Amino acid sequence: MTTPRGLGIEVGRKFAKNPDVLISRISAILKETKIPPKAKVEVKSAEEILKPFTPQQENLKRIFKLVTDGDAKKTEELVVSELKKGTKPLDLIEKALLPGALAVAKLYDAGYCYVPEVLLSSGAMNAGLKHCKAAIGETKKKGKIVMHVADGDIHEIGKNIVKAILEAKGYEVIDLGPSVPPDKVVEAVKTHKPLAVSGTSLMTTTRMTFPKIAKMLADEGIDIPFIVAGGAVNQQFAEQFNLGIYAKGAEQGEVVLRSVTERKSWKDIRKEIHSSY
Amino acid sequence: METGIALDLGTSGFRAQCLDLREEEVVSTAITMGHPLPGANVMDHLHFAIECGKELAHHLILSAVYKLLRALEVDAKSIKRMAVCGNPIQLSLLQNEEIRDLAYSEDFVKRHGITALERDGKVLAAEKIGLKILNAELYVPPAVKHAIGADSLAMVVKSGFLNAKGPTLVTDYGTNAQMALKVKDEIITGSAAAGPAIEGQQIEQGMLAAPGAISDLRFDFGWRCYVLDDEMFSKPGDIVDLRNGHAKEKGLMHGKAKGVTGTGVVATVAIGLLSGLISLPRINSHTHKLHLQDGVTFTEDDLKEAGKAFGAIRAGHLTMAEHLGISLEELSSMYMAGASGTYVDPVKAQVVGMVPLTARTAYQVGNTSLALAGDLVKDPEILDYLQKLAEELRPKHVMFATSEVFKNVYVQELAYWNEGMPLSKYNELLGMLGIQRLSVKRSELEVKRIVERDIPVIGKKGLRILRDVGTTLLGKFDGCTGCNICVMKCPKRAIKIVEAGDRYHVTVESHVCNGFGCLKCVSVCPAKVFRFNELGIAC
Amino acid sequence: MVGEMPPKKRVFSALMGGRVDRIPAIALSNFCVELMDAAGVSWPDCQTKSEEMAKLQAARYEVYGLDSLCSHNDLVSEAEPLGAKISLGKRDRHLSVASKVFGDKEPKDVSMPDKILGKGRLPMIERVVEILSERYGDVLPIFRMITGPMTVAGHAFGIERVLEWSKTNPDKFQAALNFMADLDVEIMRESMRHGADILYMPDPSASGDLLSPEAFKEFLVPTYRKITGKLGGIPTFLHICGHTGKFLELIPETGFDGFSFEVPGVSVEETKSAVGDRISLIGSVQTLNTLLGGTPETVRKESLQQMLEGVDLLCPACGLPNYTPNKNVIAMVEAAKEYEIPTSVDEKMEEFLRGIAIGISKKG
Repeated sequence: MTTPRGLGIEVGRKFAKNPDVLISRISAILKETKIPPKAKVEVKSAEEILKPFTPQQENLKRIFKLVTDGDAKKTEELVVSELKKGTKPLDLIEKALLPGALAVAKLYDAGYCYVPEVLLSSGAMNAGLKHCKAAIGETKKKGKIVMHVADGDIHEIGKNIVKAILEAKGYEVIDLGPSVPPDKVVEAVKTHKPLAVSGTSLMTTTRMTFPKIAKMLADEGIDIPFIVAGGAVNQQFAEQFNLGIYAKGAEQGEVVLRSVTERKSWKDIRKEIHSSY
Repeated sequence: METGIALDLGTSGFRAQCLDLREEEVVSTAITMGHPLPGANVMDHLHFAIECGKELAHHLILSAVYKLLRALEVDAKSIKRMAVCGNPIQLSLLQNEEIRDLAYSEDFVKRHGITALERDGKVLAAEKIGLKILNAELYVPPAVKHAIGADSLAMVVKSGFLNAKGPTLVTDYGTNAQMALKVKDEIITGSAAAGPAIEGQQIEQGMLAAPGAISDLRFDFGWRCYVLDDEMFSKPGDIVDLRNGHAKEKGLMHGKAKGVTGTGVVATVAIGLLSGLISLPRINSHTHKLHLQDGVTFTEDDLKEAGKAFGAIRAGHLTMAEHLGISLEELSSMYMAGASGTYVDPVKAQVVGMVPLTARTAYQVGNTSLALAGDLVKDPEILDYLQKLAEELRPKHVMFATSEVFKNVYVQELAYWNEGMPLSKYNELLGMLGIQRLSVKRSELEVKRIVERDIPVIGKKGLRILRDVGTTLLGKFDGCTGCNICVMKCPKRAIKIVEAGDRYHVTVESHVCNGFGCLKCVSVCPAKVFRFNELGIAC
Repeated sequence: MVGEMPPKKRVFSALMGGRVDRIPAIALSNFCVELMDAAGVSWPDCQTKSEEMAKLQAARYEVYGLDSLCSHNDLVSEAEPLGAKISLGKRDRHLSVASKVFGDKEPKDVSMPDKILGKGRLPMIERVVEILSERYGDVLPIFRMITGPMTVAGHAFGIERVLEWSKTNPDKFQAALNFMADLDVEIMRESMRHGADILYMPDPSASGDLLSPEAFKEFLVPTYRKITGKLGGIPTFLHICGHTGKFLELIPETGFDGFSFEVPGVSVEETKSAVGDRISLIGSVQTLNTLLGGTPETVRKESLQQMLEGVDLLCPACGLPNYTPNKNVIAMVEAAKEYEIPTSVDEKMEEFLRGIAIGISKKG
């Protein structure tokens, strides 16, 4: 190696073994010749995000991993066997099942995973939860929301995606399912007293049920936000009746729920969200 | 001369042909530019009929049919037979039948005491549906089930699908994409709510196929836009730099582009994916838009809408393959029907997933509805055959909205198009759900264009284009101050206001209006008196 | 800081060792299925019809964003006019020679066929050069790809016989090489008249797997000098794939202005150390591992690393594999645009410091 470059490489290799030598001068040069990173923002890696949610105990860790992997069958099997061994259902819920789904929701927010994986892990969490029903009531929930698909409409995918995300983030979702008549929606709102109620519609013919529901709620003196979503509705449509707020996705749903706990009125929440579009 | 009339009632417009019954040949053809009902797609038409009354819708359709007959220059007394084909909504509206069972789910229909129709094939006197000047018989082919109507039957029968060898797929690309899969002797049908993006709506600068629509993008030492001219032929436009719209070379159709149609959307997305300008879900240009000619742009939101449509179709294909237990890799031929199917570039359609990546031959077959109506006029006996076929296909229909497989695949599609999930992860998740994986290698596609144009034979009297196909609707709203805000804000300029004594009369051109897909007039009215469902016939 | 240059000037300058605004990105062959789909060309038309082939070549610039165009994509167009039968391959398979031309004949027994420039696909390729030159001649350099004498000799006489001559019969070997060199020069001279700017000469049979350094020195180097000397001084570059480590010292003597080599047959570091600044280096993003099997991110990292190690023009290590995704080549082009050439007063000091950076980044 007689060229300056070759010599430099040899010297460089020696320096790498004894880094304290001339480190300040070298690091200054390195700043100039280092391969520039694509993103200038410091991003957390997926492992860094998962760490705070991971439980310490081996048995709980295994369930946590199955939830984050989205394996509903194995999660259920393991939960059942743990319950037989005497593990407390509350521990299973609060240390393994809920954190598993929440970790995946955080990974989704950071862009490390996608909606289908959120759905799968939510399914796994619920598969485990149904065996711990007795203890569920004791867990802290951030608040309730009643969700439904418009009367006459059967497209549930959008609602299910948002439901999975909201559940993972600690909200309790009362899911009325597809094609729900207006009076059943109002009945559920009166029974459960949620923070907000939502309706999804994919076919324009079915969205006309939403103004009806809004009026029925108003007649009962109920003043909570009525979130409307899906391909058949838009901002304009939501503004045509009281309580109506248009949500493009789970993000807006979360904002509404948080705002209600902060005691904001549906009018103010609508203004905030609609002006963000 | 005894004549027969073949009618095709489609989403973007009606098509009619006059046939000489003795010579069994087409004499003249007339097509409409636009649909008489307000609305941008078949769901809008349905909504209009429900809100404003099916009698009004029926009247608008009949008026359009009368206008078409006049355009065909046929002597009303000579008409012996008429046959009509189209999607079930249009056919039921033509006959002033129940349509609510097509708008809502089964449980809703039962709960509200609505009688769901069977929609079998039938023959009736044309007078019965209101065509009072005719002493002819009207032949209506049967529907298969729900959204799979006579037009889907036409797709299955006239495309060549039934006689094809090997596993075959046929798709009619429209708002309600209908598809059928055949493996040996088994056929299943399905329909995916692909959404209006397929025909260019819900796209900011999208439009139905009409003069001025960008319908294709082709490489010609640069990206050249192809624009539909006044005769609806695709002609070369400018070569543009997609990142900024700068015209590198002006083409024949320079300055004529007004929007982009469904096939243009397919071309734009395909080119974007192949040239690295689109990395789902982002567009990699400064403005985050793709710029076509004459200022027509395609945004990231448009990309999301288009992706939902493409995803629904691909999910539908996979679902049917799963139901019949075959892998899409075994597919030999693909039949592409409908106007979108005829004009789209099959290779680009493959890139976006509308044609399976593993298909080996693609047949573009043109307008099968009009062809079937023509057959019925020439030989009414085939109605029995069609009825039998419909009954055979009825039990083998897949409702995608309730199919677990479809829902699982569609969720992957949403992630692929809207979140940039890579295909490898898509396949990994499908594997976890026990569903076959998508092939990632595109096979070489042999394209066979069966027809050059949507309607191959137009007859010696030629083609007539009817632009004024609608009717003027009239609204007399109490409290209207004649402020004209609705007139100014209407995106299609369909509204006029005239003074009538001390009141104001609002008129809306039905074929121009976007109806329930828009309703801007309702929302911008400062007095909140514009009630769309109070519009009626003006005369 | 040098102001932005048109690609043609940039490539010329980089090849001749001059100032550049940034490192140019070029490619050798681009017979890729995804590129063909984007350009709307089909096989076999893109190998047999000028318009279609020109479109595929133009797609190098329009779709990939490369700084160069090339005439065509195969190694058999020189043997063909001599009389070789060629197979058109497939949509995803290159053209190949199906038969030896000169059978069992000796070099002294054969002569250049009459009007050879009108034979085979040569006229079609010249038409491609013309079309490209008309449209892009002002902005982009046009490479004329001409297969090197060793490879064409192998096609014409049979590679086994030619290799045998290289060991046992120097006269026949040199005669065969000279014959092919004359052919290559004649083709290039004609192409220059149609607008070709730069000679790109691939000679895969001249690799270290088949020839000894002595044979390379004694026979190939003079042959190459002959070719490069007869072209009126236009820029030229040579491509040899595989293990060329043993020839590196000889390469600058061939008279070529640039040398394109293949990682991992030989590394950038090794090559740069051996030839330094006596010849421009072209390469060498790995084709199978990275461009075909990698992601845009891995392509970017490898491209940046190689520019750091000192390639003068960024290029795939060899011809692009058929199923290379467009987005990977585009990532390579983006990396070339991203890389900032370090400026420094003292060149030798800069060389030394870059060496240290490379040594440390590899962590010995």
